[in-house]
Amino acid sequence: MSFNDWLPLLVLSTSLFAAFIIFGLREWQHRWREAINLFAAVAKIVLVAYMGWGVAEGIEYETRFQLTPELAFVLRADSLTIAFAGLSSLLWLCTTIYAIGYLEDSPNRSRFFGFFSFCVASTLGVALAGNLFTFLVFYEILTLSTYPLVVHRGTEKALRAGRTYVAYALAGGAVLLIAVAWLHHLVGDLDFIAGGQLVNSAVADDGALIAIFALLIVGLGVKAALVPLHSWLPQAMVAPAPVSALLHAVAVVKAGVFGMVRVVYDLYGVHFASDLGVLEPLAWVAAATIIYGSVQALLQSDLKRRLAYSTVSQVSYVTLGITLFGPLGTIGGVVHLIHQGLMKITLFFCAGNYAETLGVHGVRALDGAGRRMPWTSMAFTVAAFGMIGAPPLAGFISKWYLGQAAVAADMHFMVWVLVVSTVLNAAYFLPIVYRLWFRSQPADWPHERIWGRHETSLWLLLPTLATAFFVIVAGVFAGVAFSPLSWSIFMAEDVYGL
Amino acid sequence: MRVRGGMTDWLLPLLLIVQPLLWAVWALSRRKPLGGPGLAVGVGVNGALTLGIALNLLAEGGRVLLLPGLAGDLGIGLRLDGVGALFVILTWLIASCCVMQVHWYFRDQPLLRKRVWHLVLPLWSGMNLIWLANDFLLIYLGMEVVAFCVVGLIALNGQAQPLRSAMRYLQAVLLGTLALLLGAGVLVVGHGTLAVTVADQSHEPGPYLAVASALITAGLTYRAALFPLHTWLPPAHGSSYAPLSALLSALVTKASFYILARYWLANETLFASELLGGMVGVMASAAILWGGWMAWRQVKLKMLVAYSSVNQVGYFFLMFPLIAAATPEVAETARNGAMLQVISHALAKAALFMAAGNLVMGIASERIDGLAGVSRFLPISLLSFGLAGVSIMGLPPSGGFLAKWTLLQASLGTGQWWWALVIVTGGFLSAAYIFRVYRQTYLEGPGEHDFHYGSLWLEVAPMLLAFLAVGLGLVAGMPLALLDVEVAP
Repeated sequence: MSFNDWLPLLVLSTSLFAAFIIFGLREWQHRWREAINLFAAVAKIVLVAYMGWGVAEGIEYETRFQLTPELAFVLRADSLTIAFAGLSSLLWLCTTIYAIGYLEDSPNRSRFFGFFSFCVASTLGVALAGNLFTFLVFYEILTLSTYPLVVHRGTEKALRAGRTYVAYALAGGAVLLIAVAWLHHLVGDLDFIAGGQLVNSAVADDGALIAIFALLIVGLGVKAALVPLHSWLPQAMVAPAPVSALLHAVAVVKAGVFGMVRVVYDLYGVHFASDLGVLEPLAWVAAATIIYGSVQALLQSDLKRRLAYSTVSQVSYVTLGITLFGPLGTIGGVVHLIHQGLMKITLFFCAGNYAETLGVHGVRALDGAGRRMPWTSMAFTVAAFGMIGAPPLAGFISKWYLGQAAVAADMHFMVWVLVVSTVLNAAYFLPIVYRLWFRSQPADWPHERIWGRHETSLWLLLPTLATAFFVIVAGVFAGVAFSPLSWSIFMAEDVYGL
Repeated sequence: MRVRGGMTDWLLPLLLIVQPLLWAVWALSRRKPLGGPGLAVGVGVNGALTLGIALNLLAEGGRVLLLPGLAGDLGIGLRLDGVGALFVILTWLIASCCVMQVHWYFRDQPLLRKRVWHLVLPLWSGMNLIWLANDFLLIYLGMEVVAFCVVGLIALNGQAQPLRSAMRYLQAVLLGTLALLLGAGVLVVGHGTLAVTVADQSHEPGPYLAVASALITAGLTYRAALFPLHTWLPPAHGSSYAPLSALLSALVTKASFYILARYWLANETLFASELLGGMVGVMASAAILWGGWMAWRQVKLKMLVAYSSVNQVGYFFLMFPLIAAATPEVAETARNGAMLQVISHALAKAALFMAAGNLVMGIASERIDGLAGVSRFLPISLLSFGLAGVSIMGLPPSGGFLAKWTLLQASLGTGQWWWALVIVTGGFLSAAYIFRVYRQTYLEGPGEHDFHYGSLWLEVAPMLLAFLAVGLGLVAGMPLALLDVEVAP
């Protein structure tokens, strides 16, 4: 076997090894822990970047071995893998730095960072999975590795949220297991291949394939927070801020929606899925989720809850994009997978900064926070405008492509969904921005902490600024090679054979 | 098939059966309990023999060795094939870990330790005899040896509750074995053989075979603690010492299933009706659901683990309805699934009991409530428990997951999709009771001085077994390859 056959496994093992080493460390060895964390995160970025360059050149990276004669374990890198793996590994580095600052001096850090690395390893596994079975394996491991993070604080509320999360996730996993096993029974072991596989299979029974598609979507929809399977997500916001970032931007929600992209493009094939007539119902569910999430977000007075409902809504943009048959939809969906990650992680970092520095959790209590924490508030403003879709930020690019896709697919109603959702986005983000900058602070902050010269700890501030910077760059330099947009176009060419 | 083999053929399997007994005699002859070196040598010798028999089988294929004379005509002798070798290996793994665990667990109680060796080592012999026997007479012998050792092990601490459990166990064993013996008797009368592989001797199905099969199946399901005949198991396993519970529930409960599986797999063509299979399937499903529910309701950690066995045993027995309804290929899938489930359950359950024992010792309480704060002070035992739990829940990449996957494929292959629903629902229930334990450990609890630390050596065996259970899913090809070594017809 050559190096290229080992690279996917190597990418996976960087964080896996980090996890095992960290579990073995003592609580007080925090310098070692930080060093290993950062080293693994940087190594992962380098490896993924190298792999991304190779994929663009057309090089194949694949680790494959047979578990049983009928069942293969496959890790493979393709353009979609790189989109997701690149996003995760970049944001993992930011989140790790953030988490080091956030959890300073709190108990059980070895446990936390161990599972944290483990969670990223499973996310990379999801990204690299080369067939549906391997995907299922990592999808389930992801549930297991995030549970300890959700309940990390050990409060009654956290444990309740953890129980809801696990119940939803495992139920979703069980449905997915049935779907995958059924499909395996019908057609055997199928790799993910751009353009899809099932169209060539000898299954005459379209009914079974439609039923399997529905089961797959339900199983994936739990993590992707499709309405009505979403209610674990707002509850899970009791977790520490870096974990919310992980759930919403890097790992869990993304794994669900990434799975849908895989199922539509690389398993069924977008043409075949369209012929089966399964895309349109899914588009309606996505549209309903987009509107419902936005309305709910508007009603929340807690900042993190508002952001959580915003995720419910925004992630379904990706689903909508893949169901709008056509290259533009694909580009819009996949680019939003990346852009939403960048924007949402910035927002959660900011929410964490406000909570840690000022003790502020509610939206109303943010009055005048812009003057006390200008940098954080600027990052928040950038990401919020991005979410609304203001040019030239990242969110604008995705919405532009999605809107065009809806027009091209002759689904004008979806254009209206996007317009209404944008109005709602503005309605729940602009008041916050207004409060930050234009209201004056009424009294003392609930729990203010002073961090020397800076508005907050640099461990917290720098990752926030970095991700806000990415939001700008991804929008302004969208036309440059290797930008999220260019990569999505590269991927869409694969899917449609352009 | 090679019948009545030469001396060299007999040597390896006989040594494997007798070696633990000799070891026990050595232990008896000493005033002090066996120490580390004595144990290491015994484990090593047994390991070498185990490896020898597995390699020999892979090289030369399976065979049957019959005794000379009348006994041989009745089918009395040894049967060396892949399934047997697999269980011999499994026994070596678990018994060795258990020996190590016992050694450190009873470190300060030499007298108790000495008595444990007198029971554990003969039990080991008995297990190997069961795995390698070709006929019901030797099986009966093995089961009696095992039963008496088990009763002794349960009653070892001499308190009232374990003594009661031991008596109930004895009752179950005697009834189960009686039914088995009657069934074997009917077989001799009707077909003139005691061999588990009746079909080999080209017999026709008839009333004798039906009665014998019913008796054997009933007796063995009782001893395997299949719902609704399970009530003796949880108190027996929940109340004995943790390293011994590990041995009992990981290995001893497998024996009855093993014999039944041998009998059914060999005689499938003769009697395996969908009706009988379906009945066993209903019992198995009930076991999965009821066992899971009861495990979830327990307040004591070890009782939860014990009820989990009732739940998991159900999965093994799903094999019977599946092979009764299947084509030969799907039947092989069903067998593979069930055997993988047996192996991963054995590894995971042994790890769970050992880890639970460490945790109970650490918090000085048997209650699950008492686990609050344990993650900071007893992380290694907790991690072992957690990893083994992954396999019990059937989540990837564990052996339990691959077993469940294979059983799912078999149930879809037979068209009997309702077993698939049972399997998935059961997995969900297992997750409910395992997460009940996980959940408790995230609560903040009392400080460091409230925890008791055992020897670090106590952490080794459960961790090893838990890793094996979780990793089995990735290397399942190896045991499955061994399973395919069969006695040529």
